[in-house]
Amino acid sequence: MRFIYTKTFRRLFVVLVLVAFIIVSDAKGYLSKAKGIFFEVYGAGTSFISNSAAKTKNFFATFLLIKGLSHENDLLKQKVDELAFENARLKAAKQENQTLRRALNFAEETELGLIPAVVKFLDPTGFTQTLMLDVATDAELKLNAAVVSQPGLLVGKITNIYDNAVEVTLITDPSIKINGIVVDSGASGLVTGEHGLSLRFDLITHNEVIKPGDKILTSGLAGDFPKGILIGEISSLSSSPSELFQKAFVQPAADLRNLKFLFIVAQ
Amino acid sequence: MIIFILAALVLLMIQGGLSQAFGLTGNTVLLFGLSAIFYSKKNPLTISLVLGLMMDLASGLPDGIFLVAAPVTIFSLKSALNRFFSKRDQRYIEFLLVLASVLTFYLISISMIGLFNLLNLSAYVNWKRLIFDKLWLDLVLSAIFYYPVVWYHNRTLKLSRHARPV
Repeated sequence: MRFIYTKTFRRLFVVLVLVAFIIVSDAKGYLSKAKGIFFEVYGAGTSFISNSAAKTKNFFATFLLIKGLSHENDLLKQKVDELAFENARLKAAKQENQTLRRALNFAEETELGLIPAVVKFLDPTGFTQTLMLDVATDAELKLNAAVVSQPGLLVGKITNIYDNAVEVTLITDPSIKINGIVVDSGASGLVTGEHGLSLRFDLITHNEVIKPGDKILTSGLAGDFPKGILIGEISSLSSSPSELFQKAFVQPAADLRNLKFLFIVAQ
Repeated sequence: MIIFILAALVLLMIQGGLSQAFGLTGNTVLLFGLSAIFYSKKNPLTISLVLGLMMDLASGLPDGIFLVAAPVTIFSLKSALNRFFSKRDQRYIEFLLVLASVLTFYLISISMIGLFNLLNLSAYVNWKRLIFDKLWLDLVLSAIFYYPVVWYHNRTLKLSRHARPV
């Protein structure tokens, strides 16, 4: 029997005609209504499944996040214990320091008077490194007063005082210049903003020893910022021996992208 | 057959939904068709055509590409199975056939897209990305997704052997 008379050929022929019909119909747009119905059904089903899958994914992501938080919590608890010990040691040292100061007739260090403030909003344009604070109306505020986050980490300084808000320029703004001192070596220099990315520690003489990881405090020399507020930590050195001064990049200690409650130093 | 079509549609929805949520791209519909051909004798031509049409409708490509690619893939694999492996233990060969079917499906689809381009039916795809990126992921995912099918089939075979009267 010839192939064209077989059942297989007949089937193949029907399939080819069907395929050709569908291709032509689709190209001419005759299948648009049928496709529309399919898209409605398929789209609804797919979006339902996609949403369900996304919810499940979020659920497990939250679970994993909680698991991670538990681990982080353990680490923080350990850190708190260490810091509690350190704090007790420092309190004893402070007491001894005060006693010795009195014995030598040194001037007492004044406490930082902190005025609480809430961050209203950040500069939405991103052109400046400023934010607006909501402060109690009866608070006595001064221009250029330092602004810190709760643990005494430097955030910025007041650059404008309005009736119901206070403008704070962050330390990462290039217009801010802070006299800093390295905790370990006592090397002093000038900390300036680097366009919102990090800070630059400059004007450090070559006989001073600085290294990554060193903490920098405000030296209190210029008067704007009180002495002893933590600015940040040296992340890398960027100077060469041929340059006149040493330079370093400094990572701000305060999380400047996540500011909510701040304190104005009213010293 | 209606139940089969509905099941294939649901599977296509699941595939689309998971692809949106997780970015997984395994062609489970093709695997469904293959498993139906391997384990069932019911009208393989209609099954492959319906699957191809569904894939065509769900994709953004012109209709006809998968309508040709799916039956050609399924029938070439079925033919290979019958000709070379029919009298042997198929458990492990099936995996090889599944991988070969994915590869064949890609090659035929890309050829069809080329043909549609020649006919000015605007079926542009980034074939380099398809071959060098997506194909390998599909091969791996197909092997993973097909494992439960083989496992279930073997399990039911064992059960039926045990149930057979002595």
